[in-house]
Amino acid sequence: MIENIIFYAISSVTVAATLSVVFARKSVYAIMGMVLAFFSAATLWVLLNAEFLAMILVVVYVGAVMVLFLFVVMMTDADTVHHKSSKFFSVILAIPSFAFLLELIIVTSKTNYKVIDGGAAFDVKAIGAALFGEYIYATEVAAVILLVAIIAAIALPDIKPAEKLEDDFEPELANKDNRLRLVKMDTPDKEQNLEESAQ
Amino acid sequence: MDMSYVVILAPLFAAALTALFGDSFGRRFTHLTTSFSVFIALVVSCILFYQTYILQQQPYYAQMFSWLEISELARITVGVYVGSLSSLMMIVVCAVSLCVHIFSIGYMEEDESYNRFFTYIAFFTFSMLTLVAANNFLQLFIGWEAVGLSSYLLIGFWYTKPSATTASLKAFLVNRISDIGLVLGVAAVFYTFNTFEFDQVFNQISTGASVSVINMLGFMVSPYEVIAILLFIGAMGKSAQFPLHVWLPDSMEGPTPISALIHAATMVTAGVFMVVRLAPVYEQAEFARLFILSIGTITAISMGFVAILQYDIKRIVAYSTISQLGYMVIGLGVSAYSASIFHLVTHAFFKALMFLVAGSVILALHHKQDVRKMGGLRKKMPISSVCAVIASLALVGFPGTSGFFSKEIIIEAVHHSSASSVFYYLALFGVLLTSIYSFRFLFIVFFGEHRMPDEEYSHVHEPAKVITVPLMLLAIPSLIGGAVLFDSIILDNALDIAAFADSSNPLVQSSSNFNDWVDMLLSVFKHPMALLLVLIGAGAAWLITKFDSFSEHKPISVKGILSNGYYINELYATFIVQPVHVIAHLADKAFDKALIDTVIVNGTAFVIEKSSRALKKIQTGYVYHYLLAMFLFVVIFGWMAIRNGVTL
Amino acid sequence: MIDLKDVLVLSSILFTFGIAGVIMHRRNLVRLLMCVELILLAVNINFVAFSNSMADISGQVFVFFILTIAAAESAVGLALIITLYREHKTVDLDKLTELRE
Repeated sequence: MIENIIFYAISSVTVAATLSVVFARKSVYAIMGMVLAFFSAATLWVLLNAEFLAMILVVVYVGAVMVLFLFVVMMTDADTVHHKSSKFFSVILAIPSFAFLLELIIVTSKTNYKVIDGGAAFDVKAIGAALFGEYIYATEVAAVILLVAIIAAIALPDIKPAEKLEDDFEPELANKDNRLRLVKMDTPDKEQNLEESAQ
Repeated sequence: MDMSYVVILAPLFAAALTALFGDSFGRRFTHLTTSFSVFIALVVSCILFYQTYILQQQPYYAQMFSWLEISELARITVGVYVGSLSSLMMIVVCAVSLCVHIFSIGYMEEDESYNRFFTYIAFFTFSMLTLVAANNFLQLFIGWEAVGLSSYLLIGFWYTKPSATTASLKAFLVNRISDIGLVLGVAAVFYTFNTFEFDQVFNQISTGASVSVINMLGFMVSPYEVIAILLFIGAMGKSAQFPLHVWLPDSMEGPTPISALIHAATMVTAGVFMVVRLAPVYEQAEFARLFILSIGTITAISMGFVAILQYDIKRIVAYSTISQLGYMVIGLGVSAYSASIFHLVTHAFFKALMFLVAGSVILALHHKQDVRKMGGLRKKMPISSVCAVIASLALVGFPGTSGFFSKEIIIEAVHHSSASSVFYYLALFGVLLTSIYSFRFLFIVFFGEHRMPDEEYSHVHEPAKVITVPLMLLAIPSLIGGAVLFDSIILDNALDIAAFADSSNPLVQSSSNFNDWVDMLLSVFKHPMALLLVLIGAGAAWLITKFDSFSEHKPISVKGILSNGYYINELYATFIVQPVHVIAHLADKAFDKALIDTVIVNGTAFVIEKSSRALKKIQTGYVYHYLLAMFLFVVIFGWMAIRNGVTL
Repeated sequence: MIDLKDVLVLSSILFTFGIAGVIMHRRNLVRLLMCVELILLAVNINFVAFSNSMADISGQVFVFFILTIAAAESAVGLALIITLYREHKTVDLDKLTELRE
């Protein structure tokens, strides 16, 4: 019973944190909300008997990724970019969002899941055995991906800005004014001509 | 007998050589190559005739290669079928072609397209030989179209002359109309016999294999009648039978040697040859033969009238050709196939001679063709005049000349046939007409006083030897060819025509009176009717020439109608060409411009452009727009899935 | 005992907010990436909950992998943002229109 109460409390915190992530005016606040969301999610995972993953989440995400986000926000102009959503756009977004949430809830509540009473707990040893036993190849691939990501993260910001192409060359385009030019010229008119030839 | 390939391929080889190298090797190379190839073909075809007729060898039936293999049944081959009939035709084609080749060396001397001319006639010779030697219907058809093509090319040889190009187009189109009949006929043959091969068709007929009746618009018709009439419609175009003869007079726009070779001696007789070749089919089709007889009679008589009133030297000969073709067709109509071929052969020589004489006159008068400006040429052009006399005598069937034997035997066959005696008297009447226009041609061109300026007259002279030698070469068979060939072709059935075995065949009956050609010659005294008609005609022709005012005939008068060929061209123009023009115009406006161009083509472009412009707005380039759209669709499909009771 | 369906509802809420956030923060790349992290978190919560209720360790292993990939993704993503910022002096997506024409 106490578990349920704790769960609902944590869930409320998570949802609130999520709301702040989405709606915060400043990116730094959003990151703070994110950190809170991760913390509460980690707590939740402890309740769900996944203590090891909870630790990982806190260490990797809160400790590393979120700090990265903070750095980025500080280094770029991310905080100065404000979204100016029109009301029309908000409504267009809100309606399907609620419909989507509703659909998800309906589907989950309608479905009968196979549930084992009391749940099951796995210790770190079991996870390690699974990772390096059954999922050894996936683990290897994940490791390679991480390596690639590390290299990319180091190399990408190091790339010098490419030499700008010569944008100054702008062909003169024809427009209404310069397409046709009427020039006034002096031409001897007919009568003059006749007179001349007569002479 | 493999050398029959030589006959066919030699002219083709020559044509290819001259087409490729003629311009660079000069005129001598051109005319020597082509003439020599035709000469070889002539020699070889003489050998072939000797083998098939004198040595009595079986007809040479060979398949060179398989052309198309659609199924087991429909195997189309290319090959040769050379019997005495084919080899005789080969001799005629090659002989006339050789004379025309030699004649052209002189006649075309001043022409710039010398090389092109010889290439064309060599190609024509090849096409005609293909047609003659064909062993199946499709090869016959190919040869048929190839001679049509060469005819088209040669009529329009002087392509800078508008009248020549329109005449060539007319010849081509009229022949296309009749070719529909030929193609349908070939299709009917395949439908009935399941084969294109001549010998298989003939075998099926002779063994009396049952054939299914053809349902034509609800009428159940014998397939033989259908095939015979359809194929004959094809022959009507090629052999210029009424009412599809209109192209032949206009084809005189081509060079005169061409008129001699193609439009008198060989190509126009292709229709007659085809009917004779398919004699077993036509023997089964009684109604078709009556149809053929009627068409032939109408052509012979009506075109004879027209020929009397022509003032263009070539048109006179052209109409007389149509009239004589009518005689050959009459012969076909009464099952006298050998007689038709006999007349074909003699006619080929004397009509080619007549055309070449006309050509020589035209050359001497610097390409003037109006007979009103001629007359009295006999003193200036003795050789041509003598040849003209010989050709005319042969044409009217003067006793002893080649035309006498061939034409008389046709008329005799009509007399002995089961057809109404009207046809006999009409055929006899045709002799009178023939006599009138032939002698008028002689009198108006070669006799009497000259009607051209004196100075011009004094310059007229006989052309060079290269012109006159072919004339003399052709004059020999025109004179004696009938007597030489009569025994073998008519009495001996040299052409190996099966119908001859039937004792009720009119030709068998009429020829049973004679032991040899001398008998035939002497029969003039027993039945002097035809000779009398010839003499009457000669007198009439003399009178007509004497009292001719040489003015244009009034359009609406008997003379006007006749001299304009019954206004058939005008009738076609009014009742066929004009309505087609109107329909085509309507179709152009309503269908092509309005429906296809505006609605379908431009309409499609319009719709696509407008819808693209509308769709372009969806492509904003903002990722969140795409995301939103994606999200919306996920929501909508999720909603639909839930309504259908989907659970996880 | 925590009801599985309650956890699922929680993750649904997180997921929806994540997607809405991605669409909303269309101009700010950093916020956009954060919302993507949110979506991944929702997925991870689901995995953990199922792993618990179905007594299957695979769920936790997958969470492990997803965390790995997500970390890599955000690292690369942020590196890209830095590069972009150097190039264009902004992370405003609306101003990054080089491929659009």
